[in-house]
Amino acid sequence: MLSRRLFLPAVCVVFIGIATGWLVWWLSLPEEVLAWNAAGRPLTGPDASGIWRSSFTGAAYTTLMWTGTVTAHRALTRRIPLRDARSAALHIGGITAAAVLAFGVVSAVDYAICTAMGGDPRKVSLGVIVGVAFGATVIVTTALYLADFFRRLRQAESAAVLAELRALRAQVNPHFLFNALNSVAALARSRPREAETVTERLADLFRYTLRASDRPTVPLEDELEAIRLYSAVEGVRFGDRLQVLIEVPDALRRASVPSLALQPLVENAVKHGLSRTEDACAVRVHARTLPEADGPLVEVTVRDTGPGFETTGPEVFERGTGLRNVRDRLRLVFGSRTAFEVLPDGVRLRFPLVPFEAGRPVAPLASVPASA
Amino acid sequence: MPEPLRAVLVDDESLARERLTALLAEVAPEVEIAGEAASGREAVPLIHDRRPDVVFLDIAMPVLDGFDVVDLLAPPRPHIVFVTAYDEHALRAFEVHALDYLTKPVRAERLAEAVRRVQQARQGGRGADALDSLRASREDRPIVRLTVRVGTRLRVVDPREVAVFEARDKLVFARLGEREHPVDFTLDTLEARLPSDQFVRAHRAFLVNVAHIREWVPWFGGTHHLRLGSGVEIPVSRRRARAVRSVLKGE
Repeated sequence: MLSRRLFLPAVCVVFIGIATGWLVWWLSLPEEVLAWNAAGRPLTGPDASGIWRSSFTGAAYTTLMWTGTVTAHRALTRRIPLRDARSAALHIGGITAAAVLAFGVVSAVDYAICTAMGGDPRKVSLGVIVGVAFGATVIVTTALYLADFFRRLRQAESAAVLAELRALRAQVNPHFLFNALNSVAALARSRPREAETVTERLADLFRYTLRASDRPTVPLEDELEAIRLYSAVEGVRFGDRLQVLIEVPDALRRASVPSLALQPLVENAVKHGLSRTEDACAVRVHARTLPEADGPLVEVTVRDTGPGFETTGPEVFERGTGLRNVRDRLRLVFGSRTAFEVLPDGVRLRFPLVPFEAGRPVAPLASVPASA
Repeated sequence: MPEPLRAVLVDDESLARERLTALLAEVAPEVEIAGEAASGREAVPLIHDRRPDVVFLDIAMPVLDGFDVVDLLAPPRPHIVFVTAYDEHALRAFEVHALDYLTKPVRAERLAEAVRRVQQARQGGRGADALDSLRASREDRPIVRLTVRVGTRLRVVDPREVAVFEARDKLVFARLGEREHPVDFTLDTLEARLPSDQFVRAHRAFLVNVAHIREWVPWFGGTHHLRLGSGVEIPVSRRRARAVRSVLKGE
């Protein structure tokens, strides 16, 4: 059964065969017939029936040789992985053998039919047909191997991107976890109901973290929910000292964002904001759309009222892995149209606006350019 | 019944202090809570004031962390049990200096054991060798905050608020506005551990805060004086004049 992938090449091969047959027939016509033809006489000659024979032979040669080659290629690919010079030699040898065998079979059948019909098998110029048949075989084989090569390259690339994304995934901050558990232990004695709520939120947050590890992007609203869960758990520890405000227009709630790209930014703001001052600290998450000539961008800023960064230079990324991870993930998922800026009081990121669709990654994972 | 033990709890999270209090009441009823502090800045004067036998000290606190608090404790120092959620640097320091520590969430058995060790150390009359070793290892670190004595109490101040440190009568005084307060550091230590672009040694007896200098005043015999924002004038010794000028020019 022809698979969809092989159907078009098969049709092409048959047509190449027929065309070759016609060409051979035309070239084999006596000179006076060609001259008449040029003078406008109808193209019929003493060997007009030859056109059918020629076409049939051409189609038969190319089809059978193509089938033999493709079958050999498939069988070889399945059994001998193309790894070194030895396996390459086996592939070349195997495919050549298949092509020669197919050639022999077609020649024998052609000869038999021709003889049975009382014709002269030598009358058709086999040389050209054979040349074209072998040429087609070489082209098809090369195309097959190249297609294989690129398919594997693509797989390797997206596997590498996925692996990289996984490695860059924000890891659970142990300090946060143990402090949260300490709060739960304290609440369990005095305020069991609150302990229950914190436990549930902590569980929801970790469930989200685990689930997000398997997908490169999530809708923005999921990430906002993770921020809310995180702030609620931290709120138990810090009370009035911590305030988290989220200002995101409804239109952006279904925009794609790299999973766990924003929550770590808030975590970073909380960590640095609250660790360098004994006063209260407010963290503000703001998102908006930027209309741009080559497609709208999403701009997200996370600012805090803490003492801020000591510097906004690139050395900020060297100090903690948190910010660097988010920047790299943003680039991996959205490609080059992204920006990650360090502001005196927070960070600002920009990336293409791509509506979130479950199961459909955005560029370059999908190897299509991101469009609005 | 073991000997009574007076304890101070230091943690910026009230829930964490609440849990320690509850657990101590359960596993070590001989411990009496002598005070609680919600920051390193509160902790230093509180410990100085209450003279507890043991301090349960959180590491991760804003501005002054647990280690900074230890730097600022004047002798006689209480026994310290450090508390941390998860901090690799801190854990390494605890191991290196054989310090007592608890990890959060604090477990009752571990807390009971820590209290037992404090009791043993007290009965054995063992000093805080481990704490001295920790302090020694931090001697080249910049000073974030320092303590000044206000009467019998301690106050934690930002060194940037100090206009000038002066050595006088075998004591070092910090000038804060109109007043002078004794400090527990030597002038040499302060010079070494305060940022050199912010504090300059103008004289054997004076370490000046550059931000507080208002005027460079020529004086008799080729010497100079510095006039500070508060109107105070301090001498610049001849051999330090060049260094002071280059700091003033921002070099």
